[in-house]
Amino acid sequence: MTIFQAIIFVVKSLLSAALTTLLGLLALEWILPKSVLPFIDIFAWLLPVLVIWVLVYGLTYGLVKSRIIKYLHIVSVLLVALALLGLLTLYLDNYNIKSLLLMGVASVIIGVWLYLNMATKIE
Amino acid sequence: MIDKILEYQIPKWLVVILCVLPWLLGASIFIWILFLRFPLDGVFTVENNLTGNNAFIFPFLPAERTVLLDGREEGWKGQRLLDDPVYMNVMTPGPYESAEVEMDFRVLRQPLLEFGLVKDSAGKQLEMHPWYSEVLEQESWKAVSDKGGIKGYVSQGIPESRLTSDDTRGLAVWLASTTSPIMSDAWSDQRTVSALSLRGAHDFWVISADGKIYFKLVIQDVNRNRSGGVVAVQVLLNDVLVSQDAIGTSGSRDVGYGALTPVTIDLKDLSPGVYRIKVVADDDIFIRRVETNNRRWVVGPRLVIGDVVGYATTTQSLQAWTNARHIVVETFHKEGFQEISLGTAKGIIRRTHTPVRIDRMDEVVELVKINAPRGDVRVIADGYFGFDQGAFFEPQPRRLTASTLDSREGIEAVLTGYQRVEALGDGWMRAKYSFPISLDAGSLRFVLSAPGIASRAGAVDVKRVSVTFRRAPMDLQSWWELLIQEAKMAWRRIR
Repeated sequence: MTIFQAIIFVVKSLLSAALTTLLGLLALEWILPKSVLPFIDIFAWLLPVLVIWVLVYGLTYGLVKSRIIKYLHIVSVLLVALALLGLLTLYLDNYNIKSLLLMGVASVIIGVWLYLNMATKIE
Repeated sequence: MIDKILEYQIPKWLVVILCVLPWLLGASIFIWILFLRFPLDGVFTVENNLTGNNAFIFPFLPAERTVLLDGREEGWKGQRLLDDPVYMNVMTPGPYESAEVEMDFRVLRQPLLEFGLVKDSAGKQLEMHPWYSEVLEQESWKAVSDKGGIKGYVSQGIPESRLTSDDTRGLAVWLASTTSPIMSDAWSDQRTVSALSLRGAHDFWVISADGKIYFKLVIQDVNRNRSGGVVAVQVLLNDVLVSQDAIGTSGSRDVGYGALTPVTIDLKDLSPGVYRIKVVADDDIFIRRVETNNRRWVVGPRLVIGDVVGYATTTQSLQAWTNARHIVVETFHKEGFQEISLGTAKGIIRRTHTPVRIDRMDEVVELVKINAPRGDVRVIADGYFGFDQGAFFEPQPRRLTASTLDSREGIEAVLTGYQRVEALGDGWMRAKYSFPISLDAGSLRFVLSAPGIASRAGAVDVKRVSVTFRRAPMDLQSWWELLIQEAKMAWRRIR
């Protein structure tokens, strides 16, 4: 494995581990309220990790040999992107024209990415 | 050059290790959080400066009695309390057996503080404890603890045995249980009838007569919006329950005010002593009449003479005999504006919901008369009230109040479990107390009482509150079982 491939692989693993831990802590907080938030502000970490995760996973997509892996990748990125979109709505003060534009643009970007990735061929 | 570096081959095992490390770190953080939340040693401590940024400890309420200080002017962050009482909610982090509260505070023109736990949702049952006494902090008072478990303070030059003396004069009690003197009267066939209008919960103290107590309370529920309330009556001897009963009232949906309901306490074969008849009721319940064959009985230290709207056409005044030296009176209706006399001391109620303090500074040791001609008044006293001079007796030493030790009434000893505070310098002090709590208590409500603080224009500054929850330490197996139990309970909650 080349160093470039290794760096991408390790960064992806790091981001996935961070995201899984944060989502696990979020689930723990949901099941047992006041278990996590008094010690760690999950939401402060969740937003940057989600953004970086979507960027890295979205942009480092290459040709794959299996149809399952391709759609698994697309579905996972799509789910996280939608979660990110949902989180963004929490930060919006109200539904004014700027907020709607922002959400609209983010949705269009996700849509374009989805179209391009669906269109890529399997090796 | 860069291409060469990027094409450099890295062994696969190294990549695998580098990939696994973040997952291990994530799992460690998850387990660390679980250990913080469910500590193995069974001790969970949380502290806050009461500025509202804590998930477990919330600032004192109601907000209009407090001021939040952000530290910009005073140099410390916390809360300033300006009125009495104030409440603090604390969330429990799971099933714990006790909660030790530690508070860093300082006082301004407030000589006495009490702190406690609210035991019921209605806020009627309080477990109060001495928190701070300016006078008992002085070196002229000596802490005493005898082998029998009696604790207290005696004044300089007074023997320690004064605490256990039968002579209640010169003795005060501050939030401590005392053993009542063994007293008995002869039974009388003549029944005395006292027309009163006592509102809400009251404590009657009665001496058994030839082993018998006969007390008939005629009660009335004046709430128009319910079909009937409940009144609980407990009879206790030295805080041990002798008898209890609960009575449903008729309510008042149909014919205006509720009908009169007699509640009879008829006990025989009792041992001699002072019995406490505790009537637990809300403020919609009135005790309109008391009939008894027992010769000596008193009420107190709380006495509320209610209005008689819809019951009688003449005002029910308060005229009683008392040993109280310090009282706080308050009315909730403008009909209660009046001059109240306590012996030679006088006070005037000019506003509703505004406590008025009346302090006797004389050296009279005999009973004095309290007179509130218009009634409709709540009295909190350091002593007891008898509606007939011959029926009066002292069931317990007088209650210690913020003014008791300042005056010339010659208090020589105080029965109390008060622990002196720890001085932190610059006027700051630290007090603590451990409260036993129920395992399923989701949240705790504490109350801090600073009697008379508003009338003195005083203040209590609180800059830190720490709560340490304790339960038995666990091994890994019981820790795991607890986690499973908590998860099951949580699943049941969200299902």
